[in-house]
This record gives sequence, structure tokens and C-alpha cells, in this order.
Amino acid sequence: MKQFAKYLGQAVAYALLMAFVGYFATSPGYTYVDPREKSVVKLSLAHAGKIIGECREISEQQRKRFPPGARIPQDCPRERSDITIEFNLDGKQVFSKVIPPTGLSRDGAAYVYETFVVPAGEHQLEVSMRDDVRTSGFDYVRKETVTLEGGRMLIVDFMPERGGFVLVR
Amino acid sequence: MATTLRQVSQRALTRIEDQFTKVFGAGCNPFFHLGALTIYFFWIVLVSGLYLFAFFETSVFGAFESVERLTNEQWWLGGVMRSLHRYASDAAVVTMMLHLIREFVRDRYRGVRWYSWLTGIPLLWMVFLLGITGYWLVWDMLAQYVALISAEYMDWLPIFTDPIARNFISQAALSDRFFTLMGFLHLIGLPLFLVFGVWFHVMRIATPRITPPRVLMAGSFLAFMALSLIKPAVSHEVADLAAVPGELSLDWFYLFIYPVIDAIGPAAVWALLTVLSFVLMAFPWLPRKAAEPVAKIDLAHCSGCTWCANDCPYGALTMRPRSDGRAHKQEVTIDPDLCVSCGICAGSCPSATPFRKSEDLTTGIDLPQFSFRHLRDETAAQLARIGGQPKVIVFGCDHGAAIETLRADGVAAISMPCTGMMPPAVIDYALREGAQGVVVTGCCEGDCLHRLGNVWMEQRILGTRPPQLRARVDRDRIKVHWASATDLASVRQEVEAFGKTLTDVTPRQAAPAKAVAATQAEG
Repeated sequence: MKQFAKYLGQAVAYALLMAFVGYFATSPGYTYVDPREKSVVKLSLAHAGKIIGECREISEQQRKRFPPGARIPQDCPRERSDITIEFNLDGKQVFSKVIPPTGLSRDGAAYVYETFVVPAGEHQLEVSMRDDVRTSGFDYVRKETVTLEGGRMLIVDFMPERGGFVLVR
Repeated sequence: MATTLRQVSQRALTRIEDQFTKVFGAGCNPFFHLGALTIYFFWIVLVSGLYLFAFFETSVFGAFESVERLTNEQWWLGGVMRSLHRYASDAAVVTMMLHLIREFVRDRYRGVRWYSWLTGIPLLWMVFLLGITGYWLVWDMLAQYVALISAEYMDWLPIFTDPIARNFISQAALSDRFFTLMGFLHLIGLPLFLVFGVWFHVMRIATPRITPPRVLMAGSFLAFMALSLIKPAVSHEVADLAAVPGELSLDWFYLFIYPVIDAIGPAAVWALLTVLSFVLMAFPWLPRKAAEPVAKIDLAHCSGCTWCANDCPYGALTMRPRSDGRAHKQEVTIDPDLCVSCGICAGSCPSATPFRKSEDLTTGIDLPQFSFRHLRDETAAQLARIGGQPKVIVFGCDHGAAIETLRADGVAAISMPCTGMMPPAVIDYALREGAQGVVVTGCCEGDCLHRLGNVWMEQRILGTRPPQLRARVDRDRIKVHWASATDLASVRQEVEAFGKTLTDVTPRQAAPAKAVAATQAEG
């Protein structure tokens, strides 16, 4: 009887372990974004601002002093402009930032990655960017009214080869 | 305050463990094998993982499909393997965290033991990373969530120019190389670090226990098998980067940190984890444990027999060529940084015999704060002091049941730093000095504070480990009963019951060593 009680106790201990591991391996459930009511807009882009300063023409005579592979027609400064981004959602500014170029010489691209959880439904988006410190105002602007389904993602990206801001669903 | 808290938590833990001892027996109490069980669970993870990898495709489109095929079309083996893989890893987190808590509560992380504690902390993060990378590989909606939040978490560090998270904004941005990288991390990189990490973790202790008892191995494996069949591990929907991960069945053992990142942001979690890691690593010095005098070697009495070096549970003793010109080939030397002052070495020294005529009774190795001479003199003094019949002397340790409270008419009790520090000849000596019976007790079986003190003591009495108790000593007059600190009642009961049997014992009646085992089995 004593031995039986021990085996029974062991069975209970293993059952408790199974129940504990089995339950917490999947439960309680967690909702990151409620797919019935919410959607996500991501502002995600990589863009190199305009070069700061003017390029200098290199004369034919000067070019000859360089090795053949380095005979470039212009000498341009490396540093690029900060980019200024503003993002408005339904008329309200939700993001505004001046982003410096990456790299020790400030010659790399500037990156933006921001997430906005919004209610599903219709929204007015307005995204603006300036990529040249020598200009005022915004160089690129896109305004759009979009309808977002619950649980779906909308990416606002920047592709100069496609004319500026693009919306990717 | 801290001491009181520790004592309260120690007693609470011991009471829980006592219940498991009743059910599993002391030798198979899972609480005494938490580290070994964690390693064993990772063996199950390794074997099941190798099987899964044989069918896994490391590509954006192949990963999910290959796991689904294994889960559904080959549920009887592939599915079971996947479930075993998951549940054994989850159970490993449970045993690992219990191991950490237990060592802390038992105060086995300070002093000499700082090294094992410190090297254990990085293992925690490696295990969590291993689990997290495993969840990425399935490439379902849960994997997408884990990938996205992990990337955003990493992007907080100012070391990446292009945010990693941008790799998960569209299907086009994701490449097969990502799965190759994750596969490498999960299958080779992290497991390799983990193996080395475990090796570092146990390298400063002698004869580390890395395999749990077979009964526990079989029992836990059957439990995982049963759980795998009752609740097979399944995937979420396939990852869709145009969709937002919604309702998720999180594995809270590995992914608990993700909702925290969602709630308080990556910066706060980085700060929290960094501070937590450093505080955990600093525990052995918060405050530092007061160092006790280490074992002292007297080469004039050391024959270089190697017994103490073989018995030291911490590898603090090593043998080296003789330096004093005596005829013996070797001598023992001590590393004070590894000595925990348990005195087990003194118990194994052949020169530690109470029958020696030498006036100062110096031994080859001894513990300054509880010398062998003190043990012998105290034994004689207490036996001379107590009256009543039969006379029983109880030898125990400071970390088991508080045997001093047993002192009464006919009962003497001596508590020492570890029962393993008592040479078996002291039992013989006590019987000659007038004791009719000797009770040897100390930390619970399988849970000696100094790891092996009670194991070595029992083997010495049984005659299977030097120094052996002389064969002519009547084993019927010896009772071995290990008990936890909260189990004084059982020691009292054993002493009383043992005392009643002594009236029939004829003094100096030699009996085979097996008799001791028989009396323990009865207990």
C-alpha cells in the first residue's frame, strides 16, 4: 500500500509537470494587435540626402596627374544632407524628425523605421520629406486617403526611381 | 534581515523537497538533480532536433511547409519528435530556473562557489536565445511576430545603420539566407556555446552530477511522450508579412519577454535585462561570504596516499612530487581558492585514527576550526558525561537536522561541518569508549551541502571506500540515517528505536558489511 501510494504520488507529480509545461507552452493567449479592430502603418525607408556643397570641375591637366582609374571629371564633397520627415495621420502629426546620414563621414543613407497602430478603416495619410539642406519646404510630398482592413499592414516606403513615396500593402 | 529571509526560504524549500523525498525517495528526488535533469532534457532536445533537421528546409517558402509535413503527414514520428523537442525545451527552462533559485536559497553560490554561479548566468541567456531562434525557424505567424519584435529590439542598439526590422516589411525583402543564418545559430552556433558553457559551469567541481537517476529519466521522458500525444505541438498560420500578427499562442517559457517589450519598449527592456544580468552575476559578492580557514596540511604526517585528493568534492587537493625528502613518492597540496572548509579530506586521511598514542594527535590534513583531535576529545568527553543506558552517540552535520537538541540521558550528540569529515575509526572509538550504539546522520541523501560527504561516509562504513571501518566492528551497533534540516523528528524517532534494539546486541560482535545496508533499508 505504501509503495502504491509512492507510485501514485509520482504519477501525480509527473501529471502536474505535464499540465504546467503543456499549459504555459501555448497559454494564456496573447494579442499583439487585435486583427478585428486594428491595422498597422509602417513608415520605413532608406534614403541618402543630397550632397552638401558644390562639385568642383577637374581640368584635363589635373586629371592626368591621377592614375588612369581615378581620373574623375568632378571632385565632390562626401557629406550628405540630413533628411527631414513629417508624417501626418488624419490631420494629426504623428512623426516629425530630422535624421542625419549614417557613416563617420556622414556620407551614408538615413534610415527611418516607425510603427503606428491605427484603427481599421479609412485614413488620410500625408508624408513629406526634405533631403537637401539648401532648400526650404519639402522636396517630396504624398497625400493619400487609404482604407485599411483589420489585421493588415501598410508600408510607406520611399523609392526615388518610382517618383518618391510609395504605399505597399 | 537577509539571514532571516534566507532561513525562512530554506525551511520552506526543504519542506517542499521533503514531500518529494517521500514520494520519489531521497536518491531520486528531482529537486536534488535539477542541473542533471536540465542537461538530460537537452539531450532529448538534441536527438529530436536532429531528426527534425533532417526534414527541415532552410528557405522562406520551404520552412513552414516542411514543418507542416512533419507535423501532419508524419505525426506518428515527426510530429511526436516536434512535440518532444518543444516540451523537453520548456521543461528544461523550468528545471534550470528551479536550479538557480535552489542554489541561491541554499546559499551555494558564494565563497568558493562563485565560479559556478557566475558561469551559470550566461547559460540562461544562451538557453533563451536557443529557444527563440527555434521559434523563428517555423516561419508561421508566431515566428513573424518573434522576428519582428526581436529585430525592433536589436535596432534600438546604436550599432546597426540599416534597421534589421526592414528585412521583415515585405516578402520581397526577406531572403533564404535569413533561414540559413537562423539554422546555423539554432543548430550549431548556440548549442556549441551551450556545451562549452556547461563545461565551464561544472569544471571546478569534482565528479559533477550530469546524469539524473534512470528512474527520473524514464519518468520524465514518458511524461513528455504522453504530453506530445495529448497535446501535439502545432504551428500558427503561415507567416504573411502583409498581415499583422494578431492572436498568438505564446510559449511563455521562452517568449515571455516579448509582451514586456511591447508594453514598455526596447530601451526599458535592454536596461532591465542588463541590470538584472549584472546584479545576478554580482550576487556572490552581495555580500561576500566570510571565508573560513581552509584545510591545513601537515607533511610530516602525510604519506601521499591520495585518498583526500580523491575524496575532495571540489578538486581543491592535488598530488605533487614529494618536496620534503621523505620516502613517499607524493604529497598533497591545497588550492585555498577551491577549498570550502568541509573537512571531508580530514575524514579520509589514514593518519586520522583516534587510537594513535601521539600526544598532539596531528593528522596529515585537518580542519583548523574543527580539528580531528577536537572530535576525538569531544566524543570521549560526551560519552563520559552522559548517564543512562543504553548509551547512544549521534554524529551529524551542521546543515542537517539540529542533533544537539537530541542530547539527553543516554544520548550524546556531536555536530560537525560535514559528516564526511569523520574518519570511520571514530565510530570504533566511540564504541570502545562506552557507547553501545552510534547513529550517523547528516544532510539528506542526495543533497549533501558539500556534495559528497554523506556518500563517502556511507561507503566507508560499508567498506567500499577507504578508509574503511574495521570489519570486526559490530554493524548492528551502527545506524545510518540521513535527514534534511526540517526532519529532526525522524532522527529522534530513529535514535529512540535504535536504542531499544541495543539491549540485545553483544558488544564486539563482528558482522558483515551488508548488515549496515540492511539497517538502512529498514529505515
